Amino acid sequence: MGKAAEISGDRFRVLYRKLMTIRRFEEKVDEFFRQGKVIGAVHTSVGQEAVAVGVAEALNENDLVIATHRGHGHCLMRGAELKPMMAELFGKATGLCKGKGGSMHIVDVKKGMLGAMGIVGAGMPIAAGVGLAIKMQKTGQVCACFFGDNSSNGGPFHESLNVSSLWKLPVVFVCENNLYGISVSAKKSTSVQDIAVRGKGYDIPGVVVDGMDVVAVYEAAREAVKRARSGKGPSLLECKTYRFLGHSRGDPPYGPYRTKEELDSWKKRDPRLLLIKQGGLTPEEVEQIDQEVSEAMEEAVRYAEESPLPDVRTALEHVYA
Amino acid sequence: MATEVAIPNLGYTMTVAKILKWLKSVGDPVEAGEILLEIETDKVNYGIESPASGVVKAILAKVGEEIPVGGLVAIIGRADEEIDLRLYEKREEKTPVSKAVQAQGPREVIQTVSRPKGGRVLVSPVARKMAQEKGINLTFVTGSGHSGRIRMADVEKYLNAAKTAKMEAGPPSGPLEVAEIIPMTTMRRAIARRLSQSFHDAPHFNLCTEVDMTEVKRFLDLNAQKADSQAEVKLSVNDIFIKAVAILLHAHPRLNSRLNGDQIEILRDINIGLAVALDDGLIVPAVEKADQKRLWQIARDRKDLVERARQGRLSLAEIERGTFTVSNLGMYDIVFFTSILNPPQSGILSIGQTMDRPVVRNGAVVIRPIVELSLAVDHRIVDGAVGAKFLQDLKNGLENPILLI
Amino acid sequence: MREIKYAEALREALAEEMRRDQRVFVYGEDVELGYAFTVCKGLIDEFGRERVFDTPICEQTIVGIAVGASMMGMRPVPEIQFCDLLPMCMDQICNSAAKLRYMSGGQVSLPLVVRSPAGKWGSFGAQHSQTLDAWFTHVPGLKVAVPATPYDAKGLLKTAIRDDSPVLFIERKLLYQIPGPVPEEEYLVPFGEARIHREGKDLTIVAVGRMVSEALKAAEQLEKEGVQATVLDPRTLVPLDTKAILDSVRQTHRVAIVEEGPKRAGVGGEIAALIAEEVVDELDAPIRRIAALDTPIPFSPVLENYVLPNDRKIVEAVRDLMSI
Repeated sequence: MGKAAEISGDRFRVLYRKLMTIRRFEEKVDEFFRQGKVIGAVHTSVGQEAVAVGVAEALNENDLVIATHRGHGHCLMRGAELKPMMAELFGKATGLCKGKGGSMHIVDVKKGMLGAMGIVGAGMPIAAGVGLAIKMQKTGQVCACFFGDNSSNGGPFHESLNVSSLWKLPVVFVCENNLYGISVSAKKSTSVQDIAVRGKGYDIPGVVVDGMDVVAVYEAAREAVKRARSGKGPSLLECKTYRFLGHSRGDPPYGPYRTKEELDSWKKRDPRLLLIKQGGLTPEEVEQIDQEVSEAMEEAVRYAEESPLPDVRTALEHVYA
Repeated sequence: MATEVAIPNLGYTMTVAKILKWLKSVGDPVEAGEILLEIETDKVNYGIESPASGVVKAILAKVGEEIPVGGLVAIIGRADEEIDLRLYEKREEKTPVSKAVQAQGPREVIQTVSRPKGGRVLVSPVARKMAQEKGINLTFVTGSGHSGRIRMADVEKYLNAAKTAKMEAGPPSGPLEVAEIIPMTTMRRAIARRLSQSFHDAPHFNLCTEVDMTEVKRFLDLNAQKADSQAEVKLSVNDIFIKAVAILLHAHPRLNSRLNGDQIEILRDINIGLAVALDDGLIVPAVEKADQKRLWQIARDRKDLVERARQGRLSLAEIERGTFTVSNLGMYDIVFFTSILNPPQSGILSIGQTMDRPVVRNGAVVIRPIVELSLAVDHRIVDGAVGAKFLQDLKNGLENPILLI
Repeated sequence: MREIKYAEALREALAEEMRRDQRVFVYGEDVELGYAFTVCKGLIDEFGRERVFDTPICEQTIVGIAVGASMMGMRPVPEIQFCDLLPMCMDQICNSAAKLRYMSGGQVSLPLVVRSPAGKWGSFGAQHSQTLDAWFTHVPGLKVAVPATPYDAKGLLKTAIRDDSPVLFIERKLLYQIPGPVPEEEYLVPFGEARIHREGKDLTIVAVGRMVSEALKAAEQLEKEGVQATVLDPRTLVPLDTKAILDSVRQTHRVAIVEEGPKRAGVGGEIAALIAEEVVDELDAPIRRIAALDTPIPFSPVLENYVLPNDRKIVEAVRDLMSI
């Protein structure tokens, strides 16, 4: 196929580490949530990691990312440090957002992660604004905006694609179609089978991508990023993917609205396994990376646990600039 | 066409009236001229007549409520007429408040608004603070706001009045506990205001004398028998005093006068007021032209006035026409007292109890019925000698009635 | 001093700030031609379509774009044609603009200004005549400016653009064509500083937006009746010059608050509560609010005027207030 040749062997190890970092992080977070150490609402992306990792691979370091409430992966994929990320989820003063944002609003501006947006669909108009600024500032940057399948049914999606196409903004709209908006399947909510076709409605390319395949995602993203950076405007990437855990903690992986059969069939296409195969990673390499990731995770957890809670007076800070 | 019923202006000091009683209810038919309701002003009670015939469509004021002059109290209309009560919801353009504001400035608006029924004194926060700081007991302050609410200006006024009258700034609001708060009626407030003013404005000069009432008593006893047999009015000692004083005022016109700025106005008529005690107040109806009336006429007038005074059925004119006042507290065993002038009058006679006492006549001690009188005069108009001469004439006249003819 | 109209003053502010700072840009529906209320008219001639441009009708995205662009360091000044359309952008205003700085622990700032006209025009109907100031004062993270004069409009807009926090700049339709003195030299009007248009010892009238001129008219009439009124214009509702308001109440002991929005849960309620909390012992009478009735704004002029406050209603309310 020749695609795999685009990514070097070393690179695959990096990608695998990234993927495992996301996965282990999400699993740990899920575990801690059950233990009550992580509070509030948590939305894990186990199973969807390929999209984050694949797109990140296509972006430059100074490019921007906007994500959804399920944004841990998008933060990590940009290289956000584990310790402050974990601390943020624990609500500690050392967290990325000083304990004021939490899981749904994770932000790491230094790494170009402008924010996980808690409101469905809120990220897209903001991404258009980011794209507009990039154009005005002539920096050549690109903004990748992640959103879910059901978001593409809301007003902001349509407004944002229209305006971005109209003004040829350097935005890549990445739809992570995991087939469900909380409990409502895409079949019940979305008038088209493939969300990618909506790109046509706004005169932009709409591409369906295998969202479980890091390499496939990377390929599609690379095209879209190139197009955006060259000033030709936005693209719509629809990555078909699946989340292995529930919508959020408290939601079981299958049962109320998903069948075990469906889950199992998707698990066969676990991005982790695919990546190992595509990258030709040896079991030793896999084990070593897994080990390192685990250790890094443990360290992050220790850091988070030992970190102090925020001083209550910080609640009054950052209301205004 | 609906007819509005408003509180009429019944006297030059009247600003509000309190609703005492409704004689009609909503839905009742009423003829023009029929009494709709009774109101209380600072002087008298009144029956308000319906200005039109028809049906009472709406009653806009409750018993106990105080309505300013001009304020609407009822609507009379045809039986089938629809009245939009929203038009009458708030007192807005109908009240004289705005007029008062234009005329006098906002702080001196309505003087006489009653305290609410619960007896609670309404005070604005800043007025309360002021009173606390100055050690003023708020029960002594008259409120000029709605429902007698005490406002800052009222406390300021109280303070200023205290200063100019050289009174102390009110009794200290120390640890004294208030056992009961009695809301002031319109009459009480009027009395308080007027007598305080009188006391303050007119320098009172008091003269006293003793009168031997032997002749008067003899006359009264005779008449009493006659009156019983003829079912006429029984003469009282007050009638004698009224007549005697009235006759003498002809010769002492200064005591039948009033001060008007720089001018002393000697009044043409001699209308003698008789102080009548009421449940919570005092009213002084006057016998008109007492000098021209026969004793029995005076007695009849006096009886009528006193009766109606006690029933609250006097007219304003009957009170305001007084030119000199006579006051008798003998029935309370008061031997001697002095009174405060009834403004704008220049003289007032206080009559004590007639008692048998030992006196000296022709070098011997005898028992005679003696009464002690005091005369208070306004020294701005009446000097000591003038007052003394009057009192001397009165004494002589009572002791020798033939002198009064 | 020269006199220019409120709309002209706003335009000057925009032009001056765009000259001063290349990051400032203006956009919205019909801004290139300066339609609706003429504020943006002519700006495109000086600054070009790169910095003055029309958008499709997509209010949410208009504000969303401001959020994204400001996070990237630009200083967007979008215009939302009627404040009645602001509810459509509430998510981006309240959940993004007002909160992203806070939620990120201070990592981003959003120096955007959303301009929008409010209030009566005259029979524009319920959906184009509202005054929604109170909605935005209730969202922590937003600043709210409500200029009443051309002088304040220019000075406040310049301050708003230079402010690094998100600002809701709520103008008044009927004020656009009213002239007022505006200096030639540059000046700024700071946020959180009230302006006293008139001093009087008997009561304080706190008035906002178009109600300032109504309050001044009322004050003149009241003066004839022997009542001296102070007219105080907060100019910004967030931050609010609480000190000026409380100091004034300490002097006059009576206060009335006038706003064009509906009375219930309006700006007047907030100010009244502040006064009652801080200086209740200075009050000689209850606090009075004069506002629109709690109804949508009707079309027919007689109905519209019945619903909305005006100088006559202020005078009546004050007369009542003075007599209590």
